[in-house]
Amino acid sequence: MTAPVAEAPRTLWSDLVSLTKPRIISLLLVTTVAPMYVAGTPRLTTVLLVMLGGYLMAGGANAVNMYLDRDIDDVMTRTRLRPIPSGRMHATAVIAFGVGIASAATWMLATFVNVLTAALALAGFYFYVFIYTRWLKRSSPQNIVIGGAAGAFPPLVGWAAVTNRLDLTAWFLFLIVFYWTPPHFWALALNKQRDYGNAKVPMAPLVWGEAETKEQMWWYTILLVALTVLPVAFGAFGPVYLALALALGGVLLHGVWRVRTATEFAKPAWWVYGYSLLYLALLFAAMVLDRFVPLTGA
Amino acid sequence: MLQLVVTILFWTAVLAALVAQARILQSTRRVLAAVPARSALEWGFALVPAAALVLTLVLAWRAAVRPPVIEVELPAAPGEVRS
Repeated sequence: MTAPVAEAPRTLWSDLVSLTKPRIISLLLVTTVAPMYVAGTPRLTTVLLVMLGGYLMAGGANAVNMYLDRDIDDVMTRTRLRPIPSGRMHATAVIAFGVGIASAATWMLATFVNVLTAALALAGFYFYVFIYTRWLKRSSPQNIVIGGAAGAFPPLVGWAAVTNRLDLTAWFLFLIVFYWTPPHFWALALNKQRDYGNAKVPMAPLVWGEAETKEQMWWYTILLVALTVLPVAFGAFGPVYLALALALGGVLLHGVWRVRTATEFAKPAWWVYGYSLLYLALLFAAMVLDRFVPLTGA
Repeated sequence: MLQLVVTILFWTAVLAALVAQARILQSTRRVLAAVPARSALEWGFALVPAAALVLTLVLAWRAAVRPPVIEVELPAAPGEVRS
């Protein structure tokens, strides 16, 4: 039995929007659109179509996730107000909505952009729904390590929308988001251990302990920062990007180091959780900036 | 000079990535020794990204050392017809 929670009146429209988790998608759209401008010079209509298709696909995955997690959403304070656990929407309507908008996104991307883009976006949907939510989330402390690949599909989608193929730089962008995910989510998990414990979700701090989780956060962050500078070596990006990647990465490393060494880690962990969102957005913005302000000295 | 900086940057980043990946695997070994259930699968979850990382680093190295491609238009041979 859960305690009643005060909430503002909500409309069906606001519930449908909340099912898509718009705040999370805004970062996904940054990591989708920025690679489009790194890969080439996309037409505005293509950018808008990819943004809409990407929103609908990711929103559909998030809605299906809320359907599959409806049993544990009710026991976590963070998710208790979602449309299904609060009783505002029926579970069947939620999964129909999720599958419906994901199907619309697949059709739209395949018809108006290209089939590779649609296939990659759909692969991200399936990965998130089946590999992460259905399989790993409740069975492995490495759930967000492997599951993080779902969030790494957007750069591939953006790249494919412009070039209709994938090359080494695109795979580097995939890996950057992949290795960004563990320190980001473990910063949250460190502070939400009780919630995850109540829901029986085996997040790393609960299974491995805080010390080992913080240790892995640190090494994942070093790996991430190393990966962000490597594309410079094969000419994908120039000095503007390199300077910004090192500066942004240095701040992230400092934050994770504070989490790793602090006895009272709650505050630095919240800081890392928030800053890592900004970090990823600014890193991808730096890639675009580098393209328009190359400073190669040529 | 610029090439030297890029080379140093490349190998420093590769070394950092490999050391970090090795420390992640060491940490995984410690936690799996303490919680042995499903350890084969958990090892798989740790090793697949490590293998992908090594493959990507090899591809990055090949791309970094690849000589620039210079396209030269040769004059047509007598009687040669070009489309």
